[in-house]
Amino acid sequence: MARSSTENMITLMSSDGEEFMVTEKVARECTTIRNMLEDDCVITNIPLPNVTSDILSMVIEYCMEHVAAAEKAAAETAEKGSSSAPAAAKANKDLEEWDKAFMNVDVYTLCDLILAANYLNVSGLLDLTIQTAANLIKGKSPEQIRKTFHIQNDLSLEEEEKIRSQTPWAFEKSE
Amino acid sequence: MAPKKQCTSRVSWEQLDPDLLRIISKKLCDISSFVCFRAVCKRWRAVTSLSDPPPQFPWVIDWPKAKSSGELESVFRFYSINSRKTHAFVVPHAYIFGPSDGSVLIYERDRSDKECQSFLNPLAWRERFVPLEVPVDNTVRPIRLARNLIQNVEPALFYEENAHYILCFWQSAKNKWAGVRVPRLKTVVFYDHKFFVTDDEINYTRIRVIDESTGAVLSYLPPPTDNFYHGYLIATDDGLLAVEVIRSIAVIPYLKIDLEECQFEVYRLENYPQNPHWTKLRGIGDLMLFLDQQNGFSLKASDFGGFKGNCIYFITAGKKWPKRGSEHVIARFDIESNKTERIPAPAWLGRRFFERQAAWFMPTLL
Repeated sequence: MARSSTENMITLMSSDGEEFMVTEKVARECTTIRNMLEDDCVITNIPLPNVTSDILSMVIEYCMEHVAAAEKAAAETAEKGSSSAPAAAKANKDLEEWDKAFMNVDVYTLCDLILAANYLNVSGLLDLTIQTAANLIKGKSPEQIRKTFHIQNDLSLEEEEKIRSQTPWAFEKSE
Repeated sequence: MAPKKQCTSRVSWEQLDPDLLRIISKKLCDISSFVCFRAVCKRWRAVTSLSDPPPQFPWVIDWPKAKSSGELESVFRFYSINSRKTHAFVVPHAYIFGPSDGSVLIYERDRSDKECQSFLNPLAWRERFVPLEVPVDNTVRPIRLARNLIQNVEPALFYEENAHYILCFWQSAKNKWAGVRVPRLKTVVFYDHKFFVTDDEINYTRIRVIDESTGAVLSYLPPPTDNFYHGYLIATDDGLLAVEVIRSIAVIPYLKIDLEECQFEVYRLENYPQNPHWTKLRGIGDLMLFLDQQNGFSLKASDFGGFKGNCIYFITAGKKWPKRGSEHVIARFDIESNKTERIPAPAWLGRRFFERQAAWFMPTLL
């Protein structure tokens, strides 16, 4: 399906003043923006004071990839009358691989992406970033988690001792 | 024009919004990761609560091994498939009957003058004594009632009395133990405020529906198949399921395990209570079923990142031919592909000479 040249374009403006032209379809991946468009359909320029340009460009990249994948799947279904299960499974796997590669970012960027996905309400991106953060925590000791996420330990020695004594097994190395 | 990049307003991880931190903590489906999360800093601790942990992927519990002297070790071990970690707990002078969700039923000889039975949660090291004077040589068996599918912390057991079983369970709402007299049973499940019980007779299986408080038999249900003796009843959010183990590999010791041979069929109870009948299901969607020698229960795969639904996880044991001792296998049966896959298990699992099988254990911090 060729992209129609008459498709509405929306301009998103980042907190640092950079403008991004995207199709309405891509913008609608952000529920926050979709709601704005539904309230006021002539809006074409949306300022996003909470998102910096580097993060906004990543959010747009994510939305474009997912819109393209959905369009491709819809086109295949329309062409063949029904979607073939193996092809759909492969497309899903490809998109998962893309998501995985997309999540190859440092923890600061990951934090900003979580905030942006939450603010713009991009549920797929929020799930992906939250799961990535959880995967970085899994299997690590509190000290290793602090190191990974650059977190200051503000617990007193007594507090730490108390926490450890409640569930000592959780802090032991595996057999 | 404004500067191209502005990185000074970055929020640090310890200052992340409490709701977002809580969502992250909910993805930690191994309880040790949740405990470590809560020990990172004050804020991460404050936004989470022990009474509201993330959904937990079950652990595997194995019993103490026999020492060369014939005595039992006082160590029992848990294995987390999710983190691939082993956690060992020492309970001296205790005989372990087995798990009931987050607790282990133990019989202690030496800690006090009196013999006593209790449910111990080794993770929180919390003990709840069973107010029963049940002879130790009785068949006391801990069971899982699955009253609340994920957050079940209500231990239950049954034991024999004359020709009946007494089903005992902890009622946290009333803060007391309750007991119901039921016929001799094979499996029991708690569903729709009633007990569903299969009889312990190999040639004649029917399912009794029993009132929770009085123990009165309310009605009888037909079994899903003629030979349901080795089957499981499982309460889920989508109804009561029955799982039939075809070419029973899960229950007979001394059997060599052939994963190619594993087959399961799943049925759902429909039109209950007006016109109850069992419908065979082609799949169970997002559900994961867990089976061991005695119990079956269900969880939702979407609560656990990286785990597949429409699967049956099971633990089974077979003879370790030609050596002595049994071999334990943890495996996953994929309903869609009809294939079974072995799940990596630690070397210590099942290395002993008596025939009790490892079982699923639902870790909880309460």
